[in-house]
Amino acid sequence: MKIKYFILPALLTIAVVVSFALSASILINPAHYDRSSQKVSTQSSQIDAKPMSTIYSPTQVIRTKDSGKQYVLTNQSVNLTTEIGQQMNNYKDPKFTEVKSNEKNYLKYLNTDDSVMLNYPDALNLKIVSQYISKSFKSLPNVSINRIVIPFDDSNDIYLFSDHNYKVYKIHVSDTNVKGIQKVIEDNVRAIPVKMKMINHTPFIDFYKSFTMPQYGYLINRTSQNYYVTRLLSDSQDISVKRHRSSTVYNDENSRQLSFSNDGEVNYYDSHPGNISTNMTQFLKASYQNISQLLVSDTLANIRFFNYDSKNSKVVYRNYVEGFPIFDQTNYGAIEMRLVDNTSLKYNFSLNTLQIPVPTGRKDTKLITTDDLLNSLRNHGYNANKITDIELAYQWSNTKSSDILITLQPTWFVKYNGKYMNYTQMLSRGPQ
Amino acid sequence: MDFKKIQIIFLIIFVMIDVFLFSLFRENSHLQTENSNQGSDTEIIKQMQNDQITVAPKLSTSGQTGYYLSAVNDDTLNNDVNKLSNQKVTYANHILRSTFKRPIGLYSGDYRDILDKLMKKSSFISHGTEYEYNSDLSTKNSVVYSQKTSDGLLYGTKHGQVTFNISNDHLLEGYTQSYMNDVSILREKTDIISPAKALVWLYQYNEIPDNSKIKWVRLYYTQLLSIKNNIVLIPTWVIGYTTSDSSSVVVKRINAFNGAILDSSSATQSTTN
Repeated sequence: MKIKYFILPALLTIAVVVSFALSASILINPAHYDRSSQKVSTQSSQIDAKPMSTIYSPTQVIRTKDSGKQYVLTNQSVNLTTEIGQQMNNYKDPKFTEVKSNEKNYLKYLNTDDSVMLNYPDALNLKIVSQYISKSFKSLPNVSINRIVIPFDDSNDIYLFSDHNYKVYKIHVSDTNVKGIQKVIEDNVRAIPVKMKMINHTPFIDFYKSFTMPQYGYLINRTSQNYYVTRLLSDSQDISVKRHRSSTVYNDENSRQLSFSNDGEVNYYDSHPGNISTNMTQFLKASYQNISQLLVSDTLANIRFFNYDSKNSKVVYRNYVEGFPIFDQTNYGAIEMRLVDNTSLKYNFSLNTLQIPVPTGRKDTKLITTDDLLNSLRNHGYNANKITDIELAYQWSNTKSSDILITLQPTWFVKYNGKYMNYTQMLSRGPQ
Repeated sequence: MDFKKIQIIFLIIFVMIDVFLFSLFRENSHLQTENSNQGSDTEIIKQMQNDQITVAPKLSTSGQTGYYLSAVNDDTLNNDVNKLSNQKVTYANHILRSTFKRPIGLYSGDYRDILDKLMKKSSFISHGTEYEYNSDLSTKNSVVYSQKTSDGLLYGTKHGQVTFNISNDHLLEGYTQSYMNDVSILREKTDIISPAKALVWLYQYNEIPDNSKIKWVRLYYTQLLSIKNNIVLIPTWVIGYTTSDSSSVVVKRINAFNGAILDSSSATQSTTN
């Protein structure tokens, strides 16, 4: 009797508990599913993005041998700096010390016998450089550096160099993985003999022997205007379009302007971009995020940091081919980003991007030595003191036969009066 | 007694609610598994079975690397014709067609051993050592050898391939040959997508009909474009599948750099096994 008496309430309790449990799980489920699908979508979009370490990676590799002889190394089948970076990713327990140095002994440290030097086109903060070397370098003082030297000895030290104030920093790590790096630079490389020197108080790479460089061809792609209108102005409702003879200008209600000139150049101006720090590290991080959102991932693969101007908060990225920058695609490089008056953001870039490499079938081009270059510039009336940089670079030139085919010819670009110019054009034009 | 009746009524109602909730719960959890798996390529490949698509090969999901290669499609083959013996040769559009004056008997069990040896003779075929037996493309009546490069095989009858014609009574009657000269690396190593991703994208482009059987997914170098006789080759995931209504293998190409589908003209390769 007693047991029978309890059966009904017991069953009822079970039914109530089960219904509670089921409704609870149903309520929780959709939220759970939402969160997981979000994770997945960010993951898949990251697959295509080029990491920050690629954009802010060194571009030039110089090998100093036991004998003190130096060579610029290039490799047509792999990207040397990326491969060396991968060998350094496991650097652990970095210990930071400053080495006493000055203008006189700076070069001695740079030219350490039996070592490899990685050069940046311009000074970068160590926080940014740590993306390329090893995440463990993030905690080190955020000094700005131009060069990294890895001696091939058992010291497990690497050296960082700042050209601007001749500072040398020694970083001790648990293992510099010399073997791994040696293997990368021994396979299949082309070596051009050079000598590091000091000219006008700055380190300078002297190509003292004449050498040849290959020419390249590319098919270019002209991205549609719509692509950038949707990327940059998509959140605006009221976009006005004005068509002029030489350009098309889009404006929106948030005082943003996007203008396309007929030759393929694009200007974007945002007068309320939100908070953008003028701090170099923050600014370079923000610009990387901007360009990786803006550009097609194919395009981003060739793009490297080229120059940062702290006075004007301006950063320039260029297309690179086999470790050498491409000039004259536009007046400024591949992309230029600038903070105007610390409040407005301005981008300049081009609709034309490198797409598919094509064989040129042309012979390698012979390049003169840097000495001959400087002499002939002097003979044509140029003031050697106004020359602040010489770059071995590629000239972007359109071909007559096709709109979409361009050739890249190796040549010297000279920074004269703050502007890069092809030396052959300088010689034919004369100083102005 | 009244209280007992109320209890019974409540029990019935709650059991009904439970049944209803349970059915909702099952539907919901089913939905959940379907959606949360969307991102993973292996899961999508598993789900392809819902469309009766079977995937025979095991596919890697990790990314790999490849090169842009360049090659020259010149008349090297025609220049070496004189070295060939026992053959009647025609040459047009960079393709050499040869018929043996006296057909060669392939009577032992495996054609491949005999052909591998013959490929080394320059009186039998020119540049024979630069080709490799291709089991994916070979059938009973046509045995295919693909040209090797420093980083994988070439694909396409017009681009570095030898196809032997074998009669039903095991006689090697002739072959067609194409050859890519001067294959070299055009640009440095670049990341490419995984074979699993290539298959998933092909599936998501709706290019695989229901009831298909994926036979193989392999990385080849195929022509992207040509400028005069210069050819640009890119790493391509080539996917072969059979459909329910035909035994012939349909071949699709996916650009391994960006996952785009490459035009499928003349991509059907008929087989008779």
